[in-house]
Amino acid sequence: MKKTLAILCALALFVALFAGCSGSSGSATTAATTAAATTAAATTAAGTTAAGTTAADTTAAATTAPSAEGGLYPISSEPVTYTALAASSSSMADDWNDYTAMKYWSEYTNVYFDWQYISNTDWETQINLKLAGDDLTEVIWSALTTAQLQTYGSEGGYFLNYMNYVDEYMPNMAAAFADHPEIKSFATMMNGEVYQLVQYIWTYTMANPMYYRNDHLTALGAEVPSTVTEFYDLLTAAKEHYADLEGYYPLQSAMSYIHHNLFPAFGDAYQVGFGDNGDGKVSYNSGSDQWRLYLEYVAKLYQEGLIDKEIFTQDTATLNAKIKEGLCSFIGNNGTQLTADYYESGTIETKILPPLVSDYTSEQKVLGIATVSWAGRSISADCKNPELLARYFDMFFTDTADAFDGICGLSSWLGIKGVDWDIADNGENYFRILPEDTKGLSEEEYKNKYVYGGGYVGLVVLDLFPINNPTQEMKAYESAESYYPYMKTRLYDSAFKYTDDENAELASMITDLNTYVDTSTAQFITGVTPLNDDTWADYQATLEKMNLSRILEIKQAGYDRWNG
Amino acid sequence: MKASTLPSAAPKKSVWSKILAHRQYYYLLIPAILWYAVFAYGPLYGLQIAFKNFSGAKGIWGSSWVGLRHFKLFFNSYYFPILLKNTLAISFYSLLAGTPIPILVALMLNEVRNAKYKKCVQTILYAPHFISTIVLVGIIIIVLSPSTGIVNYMLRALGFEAHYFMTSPSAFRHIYVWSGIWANTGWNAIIYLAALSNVNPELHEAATIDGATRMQRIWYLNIPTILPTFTILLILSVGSLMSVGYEKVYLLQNDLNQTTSEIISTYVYKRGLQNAEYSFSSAVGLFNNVVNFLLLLIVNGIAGKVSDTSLF
Amino acid sequence: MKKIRESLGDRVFNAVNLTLITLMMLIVLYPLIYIVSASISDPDLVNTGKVWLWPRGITFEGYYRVFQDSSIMVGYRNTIFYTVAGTLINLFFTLTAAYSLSKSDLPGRRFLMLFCTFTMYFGGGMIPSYLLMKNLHLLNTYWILLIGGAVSTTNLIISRTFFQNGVPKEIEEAAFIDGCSPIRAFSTIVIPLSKALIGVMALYYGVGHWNSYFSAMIYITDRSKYPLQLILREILIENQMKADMMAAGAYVDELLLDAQVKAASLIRYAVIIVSSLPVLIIYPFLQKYFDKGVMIGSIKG
Repeated sequence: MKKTLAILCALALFVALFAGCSGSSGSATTAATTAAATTAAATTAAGTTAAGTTAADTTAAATTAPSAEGGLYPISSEPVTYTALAASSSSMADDWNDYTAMKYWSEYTNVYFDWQYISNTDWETQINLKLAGDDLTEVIWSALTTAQLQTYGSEGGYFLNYMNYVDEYMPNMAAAFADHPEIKSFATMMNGEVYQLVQYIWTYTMANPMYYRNDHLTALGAEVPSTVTEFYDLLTAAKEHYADLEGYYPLQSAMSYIHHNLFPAFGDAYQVGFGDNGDGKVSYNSGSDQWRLYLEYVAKLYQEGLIDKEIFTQDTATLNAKIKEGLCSFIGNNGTQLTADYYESGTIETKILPPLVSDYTSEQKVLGIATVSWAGRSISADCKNPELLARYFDMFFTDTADAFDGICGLSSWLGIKGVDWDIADNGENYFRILPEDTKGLSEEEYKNKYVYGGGYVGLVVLDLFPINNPTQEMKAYESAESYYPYMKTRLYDSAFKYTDDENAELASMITDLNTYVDTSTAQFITGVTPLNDDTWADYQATLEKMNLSRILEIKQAGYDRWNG
Repeated sequence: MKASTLPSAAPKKSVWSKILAHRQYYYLLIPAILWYAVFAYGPLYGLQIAFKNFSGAKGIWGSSWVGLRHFKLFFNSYYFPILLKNTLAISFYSLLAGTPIPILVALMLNEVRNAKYKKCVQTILYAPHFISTIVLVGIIIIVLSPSTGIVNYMLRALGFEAHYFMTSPSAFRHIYVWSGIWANTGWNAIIYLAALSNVNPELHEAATIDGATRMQRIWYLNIPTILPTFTILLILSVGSLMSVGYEKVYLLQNDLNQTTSEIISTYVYKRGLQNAEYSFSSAVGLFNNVVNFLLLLIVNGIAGKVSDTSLF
Repeated sequence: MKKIRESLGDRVFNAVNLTLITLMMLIVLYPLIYIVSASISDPDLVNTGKVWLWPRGITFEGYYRVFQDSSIMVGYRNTIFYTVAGTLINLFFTLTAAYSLSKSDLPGRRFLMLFCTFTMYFGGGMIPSYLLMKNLHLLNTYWILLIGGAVSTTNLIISRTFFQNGVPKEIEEAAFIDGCSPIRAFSTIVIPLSKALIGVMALYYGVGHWNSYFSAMIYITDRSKYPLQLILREILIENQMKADMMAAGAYVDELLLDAQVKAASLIRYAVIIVSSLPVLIIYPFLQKYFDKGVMIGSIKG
């Protein structure tokens, strides 16, 4: 029985969450005034006095447009401060102005930020309230979703259009748009405007591969499998070999890793869910014949005890604990947690399994890393001197660190080149520069807490291999050999732009579809629903009932806009 | 005496004079009523969002009316019947199983003589109430794990096969309800214990002298004392039948038990995650609330007829 | 008072009662001990089910991580303030109204009850509430957490029930005959007699404040005003989030993720203990108000 507090809390929460969030009575007028403010701001920016800078300096900065190699820095002769809203967490600094990289950037440019924070864990709820309540800072540092940009940017006019500043103040971003068209496609809204910046990430440590333990393979006297059949045989052999090891399963993995790494082996498609299989059209791969073949295979693995029965319920902590205990030979999750000390041989024996092939496809492939995604940095329409911000962010769209004294896109990841990280003499490796006392934190943790952990932006490109971190080194070299050569372009359907009506329609259909597919997949794999022609026909029929065709139509419209 | 000479204007006059006579009570009411007016009724205009296509940029007044569209979409969606069934099943189950137990516990605790032991037991019994949902679910999963959980360990020791509880749709409801009872019984019993403290011990002594047994004394003295409290709480519980909170169910859910674990609030939560669909969630919320309110009125009416305790 | 001999039936009753109670206590106790043990055990052992009752692989890493966050102390301070001040405000708003509403001859009583209960079911939602607070300039203030939830309708209803049934009418009537006004009767007679109710309401509202995080999450942006639960929840969920997502980003360091995942497990248990211990300690002190015989001596003759 719900007790007073329980009733109260449940009701209060329920009422609060569900009785809906309505807009303000003032919003309609706010939007209008904001739109007016945008035009006003645009004319102001064109070259009059702004707070903190003299007219001469602002104009000077404006007319001497910075070149790709540097240009006029500091950006402003007087320190200029902007209010900024960011998603923070306890792994980041309490005050972002304490970040060493942040200080460096500010001193270099004379651009400072006055921070407000929202907790990472509740970012979505809170940012929606702030947007609806028109309670915004001059910069929103953290990323908004495409839908929010559409609503508040395209329709509401809350944000400035970066395209107004690209030509004059952001040569690096202009170059990035030209070199990587997907950045431009990603960032551009349907009305041709750009409200938010994008991050383009490419490093050797990004993969989500399947690992295997070489020491186990040696013990089994086996070769690295290259086809799904060989994989299956190897798993069966491993199961027998380690039969006495209690709790052992040949493959310990999270379900998503199995989908990601094994699905491409059964046909031409390589993206689970919505993908482009090479014909320029959006297809739904989780309802295709390839998916069926794949499910049959995984069902066999599951039902024969080659995958942990608890894969659907165990959490990552348990999964990792089992991996640490040596209760598997193939790992679909944290493979790099096994350090050199762990292995008897004293070297890291974890390796990456290259993509498999089968009778259905001879091409080794895997879904490419998610290179492009939203970074954030949207600028409010009533921001003063936005062109200074534009120049500030432009620094991150170069991958030549020396252009801005150590500042480049990579700074939003690693910090300042020469101060926080550097390239080794051999030109192949990079390493981090850490103080003696890292307060018990790892490299990345220390960096997130003291150097900068507030999110990437711009070109974060590094095709070098890390040293001084054995497990990461292993992963990078292994990835370069067994994963990256096989990556195929992914469909960025989360960045497609839709009209309001399309959005509403899509929203009302997609959750049901996803729920159904997840449940059915689990039922097929575990054998709750046997996989045969009849049940498969039912499955596909139900997908149609869930308006799959209409969903594909809408997504295709989005894709056409992406391409066009 | 002189009743016939009372003018027909008297009823009005006496109502007004009644109000005047009671004015001090109204003064006492001012803080709360003011609070309700400002904080509860102030934002109420937001209800209209259920009938509109809310757009954050247009604001609530600027968004366009769509009437019952969201409701229709919801009722016609593939999952609606399942959601409704699952939500009500859990609710009824919780209500039926969870209502008598705290009362029993309170009655039993009340009879414990040793004050120290009673205090100790009470504190332990209500402690689980403070375990946050995330941790509670974490414990449930560990305890029920087929390979390492204590429940299956005991099953195997008794010769049965290990059962995978967490993925079984039929087990889900039991897990949900009984873990809730485990966590909240001690807490729920507090109010009954407080009510029982109002029972005059002299009455009990008199009854004992008259030869009543413990059971009789409980039945005739204790239970009637807590009956009003019980009735009110029952009315309120029925009035929140549709409101099964999403957090615990969401955490206990997995792809395999979804046929019984997908309820209205988790469904709406997921849709909210995808697209901040305020209008949709508002419509569903309104639907829930209307049903709850109707149930409340019905049960309240019944309670009013059957006993003299009712909300209004 | 003569000592009354217990019959055999009574003795049996006692024995059965005590046994059942003890059994219940053990069923509840086991997981509690488990939590305490798990909070100081090696998370890998906990997660593979090797910890049954007593801690194994003792480590205080969880507590260390929780307390390392200096905001915890700020959180404690804030929550204590919100709880004490908030509960006093709650009691004031609730008990006054409940007393009035408990008078069955109060004109408009039914309407007023409906007025209050209606709000339990129908609300405008987060955004209008947010705007209201914004317009009242309550955003990001201490006041919002004290006043925002000043009345819980459920508690109001419970209090009203208590006033209706728990306070003997004769005492009040005697006071009125003596010329006492309602407000004076309320403050000098009824309240002292309602210790059990006040105890319960203090506990309910107090615990409500202690456990609350949602309002603070929505309305407070200044971290120095954050209540304890919000900070703890952040730590808890954050680690969970890092652990559960299929890793993405420039640098997927599974070793780091593993450390975070382990920390998440440890922290889970440490967090409950840190947040609930104070309340658990307070309860026995409040409990004496629920004891039998509180009313004795108040009724003369």
